[in-house]
Amino acid sequence: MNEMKLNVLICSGCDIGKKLDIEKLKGIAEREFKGEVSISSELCNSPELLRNVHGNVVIAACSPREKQANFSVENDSILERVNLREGIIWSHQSNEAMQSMAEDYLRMGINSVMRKSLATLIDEEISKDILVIGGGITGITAALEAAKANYNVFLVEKEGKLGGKVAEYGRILPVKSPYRDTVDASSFINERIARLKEDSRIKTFLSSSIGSISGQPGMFDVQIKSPSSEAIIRVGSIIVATGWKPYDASKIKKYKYGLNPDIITTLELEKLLKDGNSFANQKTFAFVLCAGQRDDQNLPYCSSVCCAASLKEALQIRERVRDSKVFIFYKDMRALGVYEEFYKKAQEDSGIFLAKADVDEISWNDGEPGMELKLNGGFLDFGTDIRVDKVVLATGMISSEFGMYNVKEEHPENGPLSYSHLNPYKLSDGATATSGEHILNLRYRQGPELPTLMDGFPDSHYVCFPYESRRTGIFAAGTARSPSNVATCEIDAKGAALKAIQTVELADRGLIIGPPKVGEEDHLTISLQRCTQCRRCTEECPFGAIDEDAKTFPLYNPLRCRDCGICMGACPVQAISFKQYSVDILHSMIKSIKIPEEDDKLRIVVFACENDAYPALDIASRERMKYSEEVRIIPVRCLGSVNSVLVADSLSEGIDGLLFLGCKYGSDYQCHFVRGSELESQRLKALKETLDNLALEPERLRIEQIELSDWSKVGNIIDGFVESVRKFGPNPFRGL
Amino acid sequence: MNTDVLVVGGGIAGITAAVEAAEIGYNVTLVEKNFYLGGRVVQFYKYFPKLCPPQCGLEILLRRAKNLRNLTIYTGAEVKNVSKGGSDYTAEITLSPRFVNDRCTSCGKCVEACDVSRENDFNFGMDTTKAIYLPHQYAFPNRYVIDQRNCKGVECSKCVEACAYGAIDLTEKGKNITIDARAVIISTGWKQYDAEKIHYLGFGKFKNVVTNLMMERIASPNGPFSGRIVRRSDGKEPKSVAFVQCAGSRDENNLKYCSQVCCLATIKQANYLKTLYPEIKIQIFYIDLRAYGIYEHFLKRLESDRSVEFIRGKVSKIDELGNDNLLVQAEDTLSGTKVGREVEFVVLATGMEPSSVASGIKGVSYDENGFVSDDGLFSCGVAHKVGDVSQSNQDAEAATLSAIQLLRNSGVRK
Amino acid sequence: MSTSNPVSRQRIEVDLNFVNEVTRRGGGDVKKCMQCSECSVVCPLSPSESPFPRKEMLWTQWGLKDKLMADPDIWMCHNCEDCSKECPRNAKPGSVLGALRSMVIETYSWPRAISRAFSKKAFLALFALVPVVLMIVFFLATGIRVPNGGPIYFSSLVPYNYLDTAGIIVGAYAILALLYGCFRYYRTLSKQKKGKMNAVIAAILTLKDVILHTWFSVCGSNRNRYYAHILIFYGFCVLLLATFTGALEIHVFGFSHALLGEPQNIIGNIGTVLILPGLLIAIINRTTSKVPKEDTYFDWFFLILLLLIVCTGFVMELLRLDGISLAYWTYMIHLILVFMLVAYFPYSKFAHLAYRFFALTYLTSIGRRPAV
Repeated sequence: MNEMKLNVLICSGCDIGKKLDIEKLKGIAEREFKGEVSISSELCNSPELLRNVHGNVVIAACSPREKQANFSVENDSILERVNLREGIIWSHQSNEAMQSMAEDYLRMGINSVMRKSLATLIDEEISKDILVIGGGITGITAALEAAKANYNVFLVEKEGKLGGKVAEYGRILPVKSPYRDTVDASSFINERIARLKEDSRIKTFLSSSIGSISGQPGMFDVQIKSPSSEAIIRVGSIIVATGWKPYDASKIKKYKYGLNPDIITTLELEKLLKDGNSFANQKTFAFVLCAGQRDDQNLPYCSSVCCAASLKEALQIRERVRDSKVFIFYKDMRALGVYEEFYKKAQEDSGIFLAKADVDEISWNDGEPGMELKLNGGFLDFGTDIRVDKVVLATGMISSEFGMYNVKEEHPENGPLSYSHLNPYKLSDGATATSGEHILNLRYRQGPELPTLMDGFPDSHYVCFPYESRRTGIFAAGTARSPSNVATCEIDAKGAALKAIQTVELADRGLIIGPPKVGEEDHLTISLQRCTQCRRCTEECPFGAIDEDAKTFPLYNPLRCRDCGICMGACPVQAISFKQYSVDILHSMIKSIKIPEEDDKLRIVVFACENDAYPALDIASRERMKYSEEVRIIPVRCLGSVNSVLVADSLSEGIDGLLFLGCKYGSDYQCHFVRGSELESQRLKALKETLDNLALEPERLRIEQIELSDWSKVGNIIDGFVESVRKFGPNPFRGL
Repeated sequence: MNTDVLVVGGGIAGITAAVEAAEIGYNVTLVEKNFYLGGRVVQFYKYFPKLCPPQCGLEILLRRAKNLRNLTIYTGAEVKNVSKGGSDYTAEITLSPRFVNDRCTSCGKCVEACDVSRENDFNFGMDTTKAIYLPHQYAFPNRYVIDQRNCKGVECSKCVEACAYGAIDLTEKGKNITIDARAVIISTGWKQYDAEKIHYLGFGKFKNVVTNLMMERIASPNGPFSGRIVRRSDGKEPKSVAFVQCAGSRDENNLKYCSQVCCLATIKQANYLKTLYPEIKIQIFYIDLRAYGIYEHFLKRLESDRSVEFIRGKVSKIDELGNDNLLVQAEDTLSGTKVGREVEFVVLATGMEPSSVASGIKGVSYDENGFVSDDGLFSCGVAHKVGDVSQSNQDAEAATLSAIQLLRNSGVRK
Repeated sequence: MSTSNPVSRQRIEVDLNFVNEVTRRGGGDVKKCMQCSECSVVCPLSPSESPFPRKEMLWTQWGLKDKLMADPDIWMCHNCEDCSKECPRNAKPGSVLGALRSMVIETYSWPRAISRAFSKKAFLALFALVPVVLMIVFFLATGIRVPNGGPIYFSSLVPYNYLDTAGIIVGAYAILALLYGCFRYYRTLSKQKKGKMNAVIAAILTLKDVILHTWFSVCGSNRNRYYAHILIFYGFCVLLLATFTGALEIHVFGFSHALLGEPQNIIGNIGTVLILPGLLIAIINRTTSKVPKEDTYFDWFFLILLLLIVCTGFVMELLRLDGISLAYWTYMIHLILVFMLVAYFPYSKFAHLAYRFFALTYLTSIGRRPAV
């Protein structure tokens, strides 16, 4: 309990006063909690009532999603909103039931606010410097752009020179409107490298790699290994621009790569073109697009750039070799968006021939030049073979992070895949990646690299928040993040630079970095006295915010934390709590609920994810949709933050059932904290055994996956649950 | 009025840019032509490839926006002209009267009182609202608006009488303001290409031919049919649907470029149709299926459904049959036969045309297709380049950085 | 999503110059095609199975000359240009098919050297020179000079027996050369698929189609072209009739010279009245088409030649009636032009008459008709 004064402001407007007995509510706040109460018929339009109100402030009016600007409090105060309008009068009918609901909600709000304490800011020495790993086009652009905004940048490149893949190309795809003219790759990249070298804010480490990264945003300590030296630097955020590797063409059996020197990959062709090779006597070239791509046996995805890149290379061959013929066989011509113009340009070349056809077989006679291609489709009524001198395989791009760290959520049905963070990971053990050398070498409890999606791209909420990785303050960009062309890499690099800058600025103010709670300031504390070193919090944190210290106690990194509370839900001994969110607070709210004396009336708690389920309830009530009066809604930061002990306690204290409304999980998960709702569903499964022991029906617990747009269904889901619980009757522990 | 960054257009890209710049600490002004934020995406039912609702991401963005005191938002505000003078840009902005001020509690009493209706442009005219209306269920600001064209004005005043908070002022006049900004980000987004211009597809003539954006509204729980996907002609659930890809896109006679998202939008719509009506027959007519990058999985999943037929060939003719069904005609170029399929419902995958084509801002230069071409102003989202939501968001981050670089280098500290 | 396994495989030889040849003949936009098949669907003549012109566009892009030179479908097209108007890439399939048709004529017409030369603009002067030289030789050899004064009798310049002899020789050559070419073409076509119908019956049915313009009338959109073609077609037939009537008058009825009101003249005037507006519509159509035409020398040559023949014929008749001796010079020009029309029949667009007839006969015999 905090010691601050309790202020309760109740609004009677929007018919609240007509439907509810406001005086009775006032009485509860005054008598039971010694609060100072004021009532307004138009609270949102009465700013004077909120002036000079300090301490615990409970506003009982409309939904907390409304009128935030009118209902904000000073930094020395804590605000709690009690939802009388959307939560009660718009969504229910019976006056009597609504009154008891309002009384419960008011008590819940007051009990909650009194258990909260003011957030304390993290006051640490923060570095605002930015580390860029990878010196290709993305890394160079990110470094230049961050420096241009006056931030210091360290750039680490593993090769002895900058430029990455672009430096291996002759020309690159058009980068600006009207997207018809290719650009000389060398001058393009060299101009940027020259600018980089001149920029005093950028320090470049060539032939260097990352020895280790420890710490957290604003305080990353990075060990850089250079050939003759080792440096330790401190940076605030990290951009991973480590680029791509070509897919191993020899794995695509039917194209016989490696068996004939005239079967090459596009990357090899780029080098030939750059070196001015004139393809002695070779006149006919065939491009096999999607070679080993869109192919479940090889790369299941599309690399997005090969179609346009092949057109570019075909044009170069045509320029280089007189009377040459270039055949391009495609599945779908994916010259995306504005690159349609470039497609048109290539089509107009009289020596470039395009057809939608599969290349089924490549054959040749040893000692004879040329190859025979068996085509399938394309020319309608006759199967065709074609002779060519050279075959170019458009093999795909693999992220440099591919195979380093797979994440289960993206492919739950795919059987055993490495999910290494569930096994304690120690850097000193020299953990091996599935392929290649480690890049980041994070000294994180959950592993040394960015968790990747099914195709090996490090990513999470890629639609709304494209830069979010599961490692706060570390952003992947360019082809390491998704297959892209140069123009896209540049935009991506710039976007990542902005995120890196935002990270150091938020870290500097000690605020939460990354959506959905970005900019908030609540951090957790772990009671080590209670901790049993079970490691669940360190394993279940979706962002790897909790490491282990030498004695295997949890070690919290506040600036990696996103405030979801999943660790709080995980801890079996309830040792984890936030200043303004804890098991104790939630428990006090549940205890505020008056259990009805009549046997035919149920009391059911609904935990609703504050990001989706709670707004959905809001929208439903805006439409005046009704749901059962026997439920009490408690918004939670994430379903994953609901502790099993709390659930068990609620049941043993007489709550008849608990419904969990959270986000969709599985391969298309929508949980803002990646795994919260999934973890909660696992915990509930485990809890059902406990229920059996208590002789309580396991059906008294239910988890439902709903989306914000499911507001039209949410009422039915609630009512359905209430009715299913009614079958079992009231909780036998009532009143015990 | 002065601001550090002026963001023109409050769709997903504009909100992202504004929120990110403000979170870094700059004073930001966001100007939106509609009376609500969210632009196009708020009209969508689902995003691809996760089939998640756009309102989910918007909820987070708007929650962040509501908490930012250094972010000023104007809705119902249209930027008419941007000019550069010295190191500042000056934007001339026309504010349309909303007739409802911020005393509105969105209690809804006014709507009950109003007895005039209007065509609901949010649902592309497929239903109506009262003349005083909430733009949509997720509207931010959550405040009513009066449609000037339909409202009977002061003679009526029923809504004014119904409002207990004095929030309605029927005499409100529009006004012009100017805002001086150190940096400007144009994120005016896009409109769907006018499908009536593609005469052979019958849009506008046949009621059961709709655009993909209309389909999003039809499928939405807050759409014209409360989320039931039905035919416009008779309210019947369709048993067969044809999707027409590149409806006006990749077409010298219409939109020259590829809009990049229509293939994926169709796959998405086919997906949710299958979820709603598992028995439905779906045909997708395409030229090239452009499910780029990891979206390929999204396509693969649909391809594995045998009741979904992919036909490679552009639809070049749609005729209406007696029962309001439609005859969709194309050549299946893989087998070399003309196909004519009778379906109950047709969705045209129309492309994105930058808003500038219909209403450009004076002082901003556009390329031949209407995308902003760089001239010191920054742009992002579809105003800049066609792309999906993810790319528009990336672009917004990049544009925000450009703006910040400009501010930093002209000495504006946050 | 690929086609079923083909029964027999075929090696394709890609001819790099083929596209250049098509370009030279006005099909230069063929490379822009992206195989969307809008063209095949908007075309009302295109059949449901293996419709055209999408496949022809692909084959042309790839320079599959052999395939195209044995493709009867190009003659199903009556050039209404719906495909070119709607083509999203402006690849102008209509013009490409036109180019291909002219290439078929060039490829099969005998002798090849003449047909090849004829297709080139550069040789136009040479081909025009032939009748001029013949005429000069004729005048030198016979010693006939242009009469001065007196009523105008064209037979006094070129006696009928000379004219008829020349006409029969040139006409016979033209028809034999043309038929030889057409038979070669027909043989190539019919090797591909055996007809279900007797060729003679198919030919009779096709003749009916030609007379009624059945195929042409299926093109719904470009009605002007249909009318123009009907006028030119029947105008030409009537003029042809006039020519034979003239011969009949002289050789059978023994008229010594033409007078106004003779059947030949009446018929000729009727023909002129038909063909002239037809030609004018065709020319206006061509010049105002929404689909800008590339270099289509092949088409223009024929149109202008016809127009000039009709005009000179009409002018010389007026001059003759007025007794102006300029009529003789006009007559000479008229004869030169007629020579060009007849002698070059197998190589010019005029030959489409025969090639289309044979192709449509073949198509009819295999039961390939427009999907209507």
